[in-house]
Amino acid sequence: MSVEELLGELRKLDRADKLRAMELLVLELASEEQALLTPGSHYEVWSPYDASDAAKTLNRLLETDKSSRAAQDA
Amino acid sequence: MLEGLRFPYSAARTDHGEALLRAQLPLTLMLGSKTVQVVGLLDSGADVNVLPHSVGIELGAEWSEQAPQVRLSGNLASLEARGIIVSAAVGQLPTLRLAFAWTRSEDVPLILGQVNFFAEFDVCFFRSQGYFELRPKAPGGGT
Repeated sequence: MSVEELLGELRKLDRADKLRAMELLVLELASEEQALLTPGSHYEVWSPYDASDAAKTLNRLLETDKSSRAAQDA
Repeated sequence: MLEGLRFPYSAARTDHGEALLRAQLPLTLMLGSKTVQVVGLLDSGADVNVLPHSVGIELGAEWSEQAPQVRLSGNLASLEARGIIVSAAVGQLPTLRLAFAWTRSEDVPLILGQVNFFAEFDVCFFRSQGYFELRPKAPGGGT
């Protein structure tokens, strides 16, 4: 069966079976992961993990947003 | 209590052909009359949510109108960013407000971090089983 035929069959499945098929494929892929880190490879780390100033700023924005929306609703 | 939602990890391939799994969440962002479908990377190590520049533009946001400036860290430290608040919906769950550090850069993923995605949702990762579950915080929960 070709990939196109297989995809056609998968599309006919209901949501629960699609999720099962997805999970099975994800597990298969996970089992194929041999080397998580390859020497010499470049891995991007985007996470702003030490951005407390940014967190404070966004929290202040959220507080302001909450207050203004409450005032509009009143 | 509201039902949680289950999402499969998404698979990506590196340049070397290795399979990598990522916890990516499809969600809808709304600002005014504009709606954009996006996929966000769940990053519990990120202090803040991060929005790529193009998504803000698609939402109709004006860079010059967003304030104040937000200082990012790590790989993002050199990028100019500003705070923006948009409405967001995940599946059929109630719409909520998410604050983002909106960057000038296109070359960043949409990141869902502690402020305030993880303040709004409880998330359980079942990486070994290839899925994660998400549910809104319980009423009265802290931030």
